[in-house]
Amino acid sequence: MELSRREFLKGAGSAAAGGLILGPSLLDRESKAFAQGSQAADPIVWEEILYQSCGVCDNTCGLLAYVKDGHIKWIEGNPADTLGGAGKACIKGVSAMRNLYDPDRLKWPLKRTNPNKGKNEDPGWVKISWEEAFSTIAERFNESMANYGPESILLIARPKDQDTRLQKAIGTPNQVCHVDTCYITHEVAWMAMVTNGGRSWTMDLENAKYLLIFGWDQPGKSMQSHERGYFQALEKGAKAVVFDPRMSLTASKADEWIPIRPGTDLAVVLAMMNVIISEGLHDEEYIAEYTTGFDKLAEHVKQYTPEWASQLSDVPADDIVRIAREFATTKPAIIPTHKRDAGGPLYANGFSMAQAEIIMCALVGSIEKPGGYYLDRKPKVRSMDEFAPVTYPEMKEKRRVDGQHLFPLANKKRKGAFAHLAQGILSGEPYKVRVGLAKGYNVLSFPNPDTIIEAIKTLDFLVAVDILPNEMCQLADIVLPDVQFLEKGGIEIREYHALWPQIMLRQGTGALWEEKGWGSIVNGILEAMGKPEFKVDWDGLEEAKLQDAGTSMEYLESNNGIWEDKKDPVSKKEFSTPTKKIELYSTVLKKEGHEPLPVWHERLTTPTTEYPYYILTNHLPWQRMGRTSNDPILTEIQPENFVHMHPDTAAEIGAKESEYVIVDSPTGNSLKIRAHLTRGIRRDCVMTEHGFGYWSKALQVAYGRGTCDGDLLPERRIDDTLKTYAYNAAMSNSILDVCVSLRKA
Amino acid sequence: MADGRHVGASAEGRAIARAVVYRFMSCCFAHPDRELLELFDSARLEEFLRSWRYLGFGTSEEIGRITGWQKEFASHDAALRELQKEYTRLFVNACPRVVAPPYSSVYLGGQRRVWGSSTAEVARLYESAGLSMAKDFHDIPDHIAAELEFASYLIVQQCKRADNGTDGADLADIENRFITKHLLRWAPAFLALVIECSRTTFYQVMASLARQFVEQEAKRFSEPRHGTSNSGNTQKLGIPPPSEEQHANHSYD
Repeated sequence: MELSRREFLKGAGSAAAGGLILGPSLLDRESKAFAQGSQAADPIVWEEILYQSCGVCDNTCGLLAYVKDGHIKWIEGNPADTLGGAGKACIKGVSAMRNLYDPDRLKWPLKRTNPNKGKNEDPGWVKISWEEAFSTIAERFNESMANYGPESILLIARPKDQDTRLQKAIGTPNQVCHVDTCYITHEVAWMAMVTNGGRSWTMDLENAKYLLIFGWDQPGKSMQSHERGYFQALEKGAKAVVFDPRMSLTASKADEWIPIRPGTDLAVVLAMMNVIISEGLHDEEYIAEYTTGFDKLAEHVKQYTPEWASQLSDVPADDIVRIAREFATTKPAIIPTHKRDAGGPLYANGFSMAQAEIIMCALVGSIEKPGGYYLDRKPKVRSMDEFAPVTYPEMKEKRRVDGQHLFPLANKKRKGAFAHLAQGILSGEPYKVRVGLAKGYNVLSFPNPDTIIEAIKTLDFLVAVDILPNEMCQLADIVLPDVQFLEKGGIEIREYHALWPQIMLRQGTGALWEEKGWGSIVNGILEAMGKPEFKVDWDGLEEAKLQDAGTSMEYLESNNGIWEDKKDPVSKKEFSTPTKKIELYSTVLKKEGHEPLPVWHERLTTPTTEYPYYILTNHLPWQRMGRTSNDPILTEIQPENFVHMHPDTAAEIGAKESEYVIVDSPTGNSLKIRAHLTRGIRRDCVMTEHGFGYWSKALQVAYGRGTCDGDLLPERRIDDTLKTYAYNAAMSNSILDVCVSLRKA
Repeated sequence: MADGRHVGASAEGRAIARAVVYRFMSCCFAHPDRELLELFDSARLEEFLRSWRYLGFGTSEEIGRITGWQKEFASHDAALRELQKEYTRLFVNACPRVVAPPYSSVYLGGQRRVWGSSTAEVARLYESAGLSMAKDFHDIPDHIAAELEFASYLIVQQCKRADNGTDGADLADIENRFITKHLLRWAPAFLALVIECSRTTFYQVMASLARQFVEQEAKRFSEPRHGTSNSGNTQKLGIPPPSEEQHANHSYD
């Protein structure tokens, strides 16, 4: 028996020689893997240095990604980005290629074949085409719109351009993101009292001489813009005083750490205002020029004495007086804030604290001044709707499933409430949402995740868009793969710490598989829904924004990947409030029925015999939740989370270092977690780290490590949040306003 | 094959048979579509079987099952759905884990990742053979299906050169390096995982046949006339099949 190569190679239809071979031959099939004939092709193994803007956290530090052997081998900071890492990249940034090359990543659209959803259900994924994914989504969305109205569609997504386009084209009010558990208090307070932009993220820390800090710990989260500014200030001799129930990384580097009772920072600040004003230490000139409402404030804070605040906060009255004097007389002085600090949505009085922080900075003249806060200086570029104008359908239903419409100021930011969402979905009030899409959000980001899991299971249909097959994907009917930032090209307009206008170039490696960017996904869904008029040329939009800023891709490519209009910020004296001044007494808050001046309110919960300890949370400097949690090397640094407690607290329950203990929460959940003993925490507090407890078995590294702190934190009912309406314009959800108990495992 | 000009009839036949088997296997480890089903309905299956026998493989249980696996399903559509589901589970995304990521770098280089140095190695070999990836391939160069097709391509090109009377030594060298220094270093471990964990007859059978073939290739390339020393190439990499227990004690290598 002989095979003839000639018979094989003759091509299709070759006759059988000796009855051995039947054509056409397998060898004539066209290749799917390799380029054919003279088709122009890119090299597979290339070398280049790519400009990038980091996508791990909001700090968007400029990066250089070194491509060697056809893949990114090394990442470091781009020295030209002096607003970000200034040539440094944090460990999360330099690790980003392990997320890019993670074999667990989502690669193609997936469809679930197992109708049962839950923690122990294998979704039974099958790879499908984008066409099938889009047409399935469009069919389910259109069906829901036709039967139950556009409001029956829920988008769990950030209000960025793409998300907003999809939301407005559909006409649903329900676009819900996480900020009620993040920075909404700061945003609404700044919006009401200072500026419509409402973002307190741009601080001239390095020129500050006195940093008064209430729980702020950006250095402990490796947020480089703030971290760099903090340490530069300290190097230049600034004094830092940190009020925090535990010794954060920021506190560990400060001149003073004051272990305050959690949720009483507001009392201390109110008393400090009283000291500053009654002793005439405030900046009269600045107050006259920049602010309104001083007299009402002066009268209001007289009731808050240092002795009174001391009783509440465990901070000695002498220290309150001394620090108030130091703060007012060591200029420039600033209270840095961001996200989940004492002015964040941690406790019921968080919004009042955010208000108070603005007032304190105004009293010493450090808003729109060197060493203080600046309003962001983003480049003036056209918006998506200006670039691609379209008439959106009228949004008939304005009530939202998370109740945000009941809080008009928070609703202006249209960001929603994670803590209310489970109740909103499960109660079917004010109406039932039927289908959903979650973009880049995991169920573990919600307080008490089990309730949102139950709620999401009641949806008829869910789409999840993400990079890794996390828990949200486990519950989805269709899973869509998003591109990782290192694959993505385009530009990044700096939002965070924009002391001056800056645009960074993104040079991507291109998608490894068939992932699509979020803009393309939105266009695909709109097209399939029969709404092609809402599609946006996203690349064209970026080009237009570059033009508006007065630059171009070519400029970015030949100028270190960065365009900036670098100039010293000139102080603005006009603000976008009704009086055009910084309103110490806020007419905007007053108009909406909120307290125009910060009034002392206790937190909702205090220790009881049953639950004797305050709970605190934090996340590790080298982790950024889902973006890093499946990274083997970062996980090796600390494979599971701990509950930090004072040795005396540990002694009460007989726990030793690294032994397992049980933390019980009023949510009904109990976490088994290792104890870490430290004197850097109050005896009545325990602290645990966020970013653990993943149960998606499709995450090989992250799966099953540690516990989810969210299990200890209660979801909220809209009715209960409404009870705090007078002092909670932001509809913050008091995420840490809960106490827990401890026992030995 | 090192020479290419002096192949005897049986050597040349063997080359063709190897090319057919590589290409057939490549089709079987690509994402299953209608073309794959047609492969098993058409003369191409016969072509594969003849090539298989030509390489000296006897009738085995797997060969018996290769024609029968479709009968387990009510229809072509049902068969395709099941294969696609299993393909996704084995090679794309799955719970509790992607069973056998079909990329060399996951098995070589000590890091569980895609696009490792072994990917670059094999991509360089593609380039040295004048190939680049198709624009619509949308996958990583060291995907098992691409690698198996590459082997087939190299053999066919050498046969064509021999036909034209041109020298194929450079291609023979690439083939030798590719198979001994790359493919044989990871395919056994990958196939072992598929054999161990597949829930469908199709992938069990195909992986099992592929393993037999790869073992023969290993022997073939260790014969002295290939002039290469490749001690250790045939050794299995010893990655044990996954178990829940192992998962719980996951280490990072």
